[in-house]
Amino acid sequence: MAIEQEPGIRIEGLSKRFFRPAADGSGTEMLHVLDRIELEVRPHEFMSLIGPSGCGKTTLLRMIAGLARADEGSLRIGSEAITGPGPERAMVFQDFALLPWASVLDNVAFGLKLRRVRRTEREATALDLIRAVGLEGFEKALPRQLSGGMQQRVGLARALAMDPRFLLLDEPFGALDEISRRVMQDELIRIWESDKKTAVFVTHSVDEAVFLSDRIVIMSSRPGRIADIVEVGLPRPRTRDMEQDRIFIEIRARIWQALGL
Amino acid sequence: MASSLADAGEQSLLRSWRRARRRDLLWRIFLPLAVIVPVALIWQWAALRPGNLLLPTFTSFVTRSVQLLFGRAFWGALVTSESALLIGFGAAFILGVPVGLAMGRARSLEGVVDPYLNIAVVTPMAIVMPLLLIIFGFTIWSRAIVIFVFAVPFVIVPCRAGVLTVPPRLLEMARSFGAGELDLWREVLVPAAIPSIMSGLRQGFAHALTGMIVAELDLLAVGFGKLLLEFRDNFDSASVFATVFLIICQSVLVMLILTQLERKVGASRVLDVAGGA
Repeated sequence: MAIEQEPGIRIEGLSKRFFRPAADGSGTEMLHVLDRIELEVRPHEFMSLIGPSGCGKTTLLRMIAGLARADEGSLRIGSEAITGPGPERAMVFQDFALLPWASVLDNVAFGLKLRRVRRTEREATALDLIRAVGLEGFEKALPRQLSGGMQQRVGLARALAMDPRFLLLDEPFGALDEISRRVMQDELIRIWESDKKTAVFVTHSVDEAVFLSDRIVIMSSRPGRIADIVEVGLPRPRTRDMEQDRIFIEIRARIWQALGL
Repeated sequence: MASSLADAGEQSLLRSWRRARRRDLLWRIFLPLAVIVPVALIWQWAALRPGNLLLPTFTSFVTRSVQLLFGRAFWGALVTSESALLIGFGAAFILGVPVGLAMGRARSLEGVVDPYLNIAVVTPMAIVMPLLLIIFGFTIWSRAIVIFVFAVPFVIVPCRAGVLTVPPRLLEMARSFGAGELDLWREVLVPAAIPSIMSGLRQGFAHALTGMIVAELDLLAVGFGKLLLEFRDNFDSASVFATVFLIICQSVLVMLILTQLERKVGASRVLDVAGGA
């Protein structure tokens, strides 16, 4: 069997500016959100984007998702330019973005429905993923009957149901309390390590980034640039006792340093 | 034993809960009666005073109401009046819902329709009735159009609001999963707007009823309007009171049904998605 080189995501010379009314009321102000970003997301790696608020990490992720356009530069999957959302990418949102009137089952099957997958087939897939994220028995529940952590399990299952090659996670645990957050990190890493889809993970949390990632991209703000890229040399599967590991502690310190804090 | 003690405690709790419920029910019957009975008594007394010519007695009002309810005149008027209501309000709903929904989505359409909508909301619609009479003549259509004009802004406004309040995040989510514009409508916008559509149905209907009566009293004396005017001209005030009462009863009944429907649909569709950054 020939080993085919699976493509990652290549980002070249990417810039993005926003315009908004100036804070002092003097006309328009330009925000240089991203400035000539060069980055490669390797196939099957778990990559985190970390940085202060306003460094453009969410904008970068939305561009990878095809939800925002670049002003300059290019994003490519293999040789193909990203011009919009595509079935090989699926996103998990910070505020879950579940359909409030739809059951857990219908929410998880949502992407498949849009892809015109037959009902029996998409519900079978959805049920598998509901089981995988530990929501068995809640298939008929509505989002508002679930806790934040459970809602994000639905969000994660919905993305995984598309069987995407790239999983894009926009601060998925940012809206959760500390305890749910830790539980969800364990859950995510367990699911991710089982089939290693290429993941781009935006976060504010240094520890979370170190615990989950293979590589961490540290961004600086205004203009948004890549300050440093750190390889996390911890073995997989990741376990919580690694938080005491010398490597873990060193990487954490290095990230804080790169963030200038 | 501990369990039997808990049972006894639970039973006394249950008893006091039932007592409270009975008391509640009693008040719910008693309070309205406490209003109606004195009103009826004062009414009867005022009508029986010497010198009263027009005010019917409460008892004759009640008798006439029952007679009308089981007679042919009232139901004949109802069919005449409400066939125009059905046409006018039906058209307002069928046209108003898509226009309202589309206005919520498309800025350009909003710009075109909004000025007229504002005019329609702030102008007393009664003043355009002579114009309609000139254009459409003494037909059911001119009544239907009055009803339409009364109702349509109140269908459009909630529908527009329903679409405008859909969290942009949900639309972005759907797009990220590959939804096109048609998918957005089918899977997100319309389901999210259903409570607003129900609200438009209820509000529009209330205004359609107003339009129906106003048209029949001021424009074209048919149906209920004709009935009322005839009774009035015959100085049959008990029948006037009874007719008004029955029309009110009918409106209240329909509104009650629509409110229940709205509540039922709305309960399962509370939008509780935060805006997010």
